[in-house]
Amino acid sequence: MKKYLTFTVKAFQRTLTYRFELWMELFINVLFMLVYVYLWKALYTGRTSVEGYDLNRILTYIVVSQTLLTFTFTLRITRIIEEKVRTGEVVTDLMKPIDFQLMTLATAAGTSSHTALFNMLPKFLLFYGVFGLSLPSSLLMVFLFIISVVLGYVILFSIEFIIGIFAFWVVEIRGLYAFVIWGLAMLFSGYFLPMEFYPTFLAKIAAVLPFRAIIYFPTAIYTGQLIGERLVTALLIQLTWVAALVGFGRLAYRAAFRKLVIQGG
Amino acid sequence: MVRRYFKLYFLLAGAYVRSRLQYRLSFGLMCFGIVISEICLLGLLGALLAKFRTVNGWTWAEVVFLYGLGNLAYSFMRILGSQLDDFDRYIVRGELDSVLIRPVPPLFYILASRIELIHVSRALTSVVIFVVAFHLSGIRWTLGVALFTFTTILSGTLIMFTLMLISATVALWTTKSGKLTDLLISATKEATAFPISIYPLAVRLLLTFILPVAFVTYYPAQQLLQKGEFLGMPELFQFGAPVVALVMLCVSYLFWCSGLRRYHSTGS
Repeated sequence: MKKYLTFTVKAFQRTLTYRFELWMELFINVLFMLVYVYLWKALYTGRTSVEGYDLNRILTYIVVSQTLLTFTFTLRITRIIEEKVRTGEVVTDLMKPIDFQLMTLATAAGTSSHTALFNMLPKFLLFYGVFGLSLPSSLLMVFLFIISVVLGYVILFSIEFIIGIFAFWVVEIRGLYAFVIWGLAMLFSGYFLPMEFYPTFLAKIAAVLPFRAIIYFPTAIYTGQLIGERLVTALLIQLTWVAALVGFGRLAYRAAFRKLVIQGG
Repeated sequence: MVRRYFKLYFLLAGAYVRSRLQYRLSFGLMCFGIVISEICLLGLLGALLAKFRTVNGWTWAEVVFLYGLGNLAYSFMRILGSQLDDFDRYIVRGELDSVLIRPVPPLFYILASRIELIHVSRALTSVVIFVVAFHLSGIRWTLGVALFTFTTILSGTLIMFTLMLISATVALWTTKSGKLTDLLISATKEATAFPISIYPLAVRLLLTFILPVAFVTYYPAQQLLQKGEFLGMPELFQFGAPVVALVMLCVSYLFWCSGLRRYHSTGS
């Protein structure tokens, strides 16, 4: 376990190098979130509640989901794996007595905890303060929210990991990445609006895909939209996706590595 | 002279396009992904406005009109200026040094060495979206309207391009800019998809004077849609896009040149 933690710490430290970049990124992220917050404020003028969301709850939803979306565009797992395969650097990883998938996850966790601490938390607090958002209803909910965020993160990671592993077979995977992450995930994760607002047929498609488990579930737990039995179901769905996608990722990279050996590197 | 540059541009860009087309499946998937995501986002926007009817007095058709206009400028800029997206690569890897010794202006060479046809799919989608929204908003096509629309799209493309150039140039000082350029341009594009009247004054001023993307969609739309919504700004702003584009072009090019003058190779 300790050796994996080293990857996490190193990745965390590496991100500290580019301060200016991080500040600018934060500034632009805030601009992004302002667009959506003011859009919803304008939409809600003269209304009290739509689909069970009053203004405060919808703003909370938008800010939390936009904050969680940061993981999607800062996680660069696909790109990192693709580059390792293309340059052949992946061979040195294979020689190490470690699990490739776990090592990649540990590295990603390092970068992402930095993002969470220095990008997501400050911008969330800023919006929380300025727009008077709400907190989860109890400490238990905060706890369940964090669990759900972590599960969603592992799902996002696993999807990116699997796409990255495809690089062993096809050299160019940017297309697949753009299609899945910028197409499907954006549409079905619920970052733009809560699932309750989706037209029925879109909501039906979303229900069989893993993407709503990345953003919608944790956010809806935060806002109190998912409670009781539905909350438990949501967490179970997340766990199932984690198991399935992590498992598939392992199978995929084992097959990929076997292929690599056959070719002789 | 001009003809030589044209030839050179097509030669360089053509080589890039050929290399991209080696991976047909990936190319196709990427185009498909872009088209799908555009249509889906529009669907979500539609779902939203079906519930709420209007945003600050703007109907669905009018919002889609803004969205289409911004998207058109964005996709043209993306086709031609994609190279600025990860310009810091040139500096980190020391590739800029080899660009500087070529007998053409560095910016020309950099832009010509990549033309991203993937974004043609976005441009085509945007054209369809825009034309439909144009029709739904009840605008009649006349020669004047056509000319105005053309100028607006051209100016919008230039304004977005100059913002991209400025943020890419920052890398000449800081060496690395990461996803900054991409983020900035996506954020500003997103901001122009909605009437700026929904934002507080500070954001409106930001989008008018500092990152002047309000001239890509909002102000020209005042003329085309006859909304007469100027929020205390001069009514002349509806014709301001070309002027803003020219000013931005000068500013960004001067900034680029001053960046190049102080550039030191990373030595790697």
